[in-house]
Amino acid sequence: MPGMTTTSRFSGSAASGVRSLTSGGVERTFGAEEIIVSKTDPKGRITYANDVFLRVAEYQEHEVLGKPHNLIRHPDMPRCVFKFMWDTIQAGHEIFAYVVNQSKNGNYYWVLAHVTPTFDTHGSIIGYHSNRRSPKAAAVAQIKPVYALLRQIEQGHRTPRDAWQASLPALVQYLADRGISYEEFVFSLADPPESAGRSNPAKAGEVVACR
Amino acid sequence: MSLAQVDSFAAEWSEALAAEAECTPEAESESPADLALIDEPIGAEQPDELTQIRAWVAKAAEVCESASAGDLEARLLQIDAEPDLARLLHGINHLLDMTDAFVRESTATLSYAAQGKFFRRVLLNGMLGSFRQAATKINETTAQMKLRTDELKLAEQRRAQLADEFQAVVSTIDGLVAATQQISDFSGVIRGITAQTNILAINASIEAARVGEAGRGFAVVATEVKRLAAQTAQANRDIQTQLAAIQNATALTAKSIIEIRDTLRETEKSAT
Repeated sequence: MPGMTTTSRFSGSAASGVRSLTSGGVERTFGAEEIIVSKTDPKGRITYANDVFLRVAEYQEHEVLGKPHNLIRHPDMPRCVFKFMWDTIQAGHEIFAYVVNQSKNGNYYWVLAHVTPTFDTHGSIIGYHSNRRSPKAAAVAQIKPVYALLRQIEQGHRTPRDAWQASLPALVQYLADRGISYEEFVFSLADPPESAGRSNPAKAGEVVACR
Repeated sequence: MSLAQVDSFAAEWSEALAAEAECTPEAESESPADLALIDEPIGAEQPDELTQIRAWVAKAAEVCESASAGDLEARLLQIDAEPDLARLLHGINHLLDMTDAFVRESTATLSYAAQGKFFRRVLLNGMLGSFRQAATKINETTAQMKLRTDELKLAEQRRAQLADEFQAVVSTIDGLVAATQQISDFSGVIRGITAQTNILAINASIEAARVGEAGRGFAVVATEVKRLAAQTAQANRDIQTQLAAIQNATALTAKSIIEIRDTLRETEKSAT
């Protein structure tokens, strides 16, 4: 994968300066063909969680229904990623993100989350839907130092708002350095170019930012 | 549990319910519709098993009906039915989750493709059987769209290059027009000189005649000069005619090339 290994800023200092991500608990995994599904109301309160969600997050259904989705937020997740996700879905767009979540018992699990707004027939957002898939180990390995650096920037800021305001420019800069959009970046991790077959000439990272 | 089993199961229970209704008229107050509300966990008032089953079946029917009408939001929550029924209810949720995921993924991928963003692909994880086949087909199609778009972009670049090359030809022709104009100017000068020479020759003839016998030789020279002037004038007229033909042809060529160039540029504009 081009890019991630080239900047000393993200790959070097982050690895040495910050404690490794997900230091506490045990990693929980789920099947490659399983999808963790949840739905929330427009305020982010859980209205549905499928059985894979409950199993992996170690919750009972009644413990999550009506609760805010940040119930499973892991302290190692940079605030700015959630800020970015929230802004994107509130604007009516979908978003993909690599996320580490925390289970009820303090264990953790990595997901490739796909969050989409749900619209009524008039086009108003009536809730959000999230499908989470088991990410490739290589993708998690690449996102970890990025998140570690963003967390390092966020440390020492007292409110979540101060935290993301400090780290969001770093995320924007990281993408600008690579000349790709956030969505292309996430997709480049999800589907490395070398795995693209002959029938699919599209290469991640090759696409020019679109109008 | 097979469908036939479900049928006979339902028949048995409906008989049992009918029998029970006769004994306990109060049962009517606990209608399945009341118990189907998600907010009140079913079983809170310890209804008998049959009532609970009927409530879940009614709720499942509602969810299936709204899903069939295109609303993929409804799910069965807090399932506490007996294992076989619970399996059916979870199965409905799972089917809805898969359908929901497919609809969201394919819609997003195609919307991106419509904006020329071909990096977005339907993620195949969790998409099984027909879902995966359809998703794969969508991905193949967007890959083809990307290929065609790239080809179009290349063709656009070539067209732009061609327009530039035609622009260079226009400049060359402008040079040619200027050169022929210069020749035409020189030809004008030559015409002037020829006229002067002709007058000089006539004057020389007159002067030669005035000195009589001594001027005879000079008169011959004057006649020759006059003849040369006439020949030069004729040659000069031929040059003028040829030049006019060249200028006409050049103007026509320039016009055509400018038209081609402008057409190429217009195509370029409309394509971007």
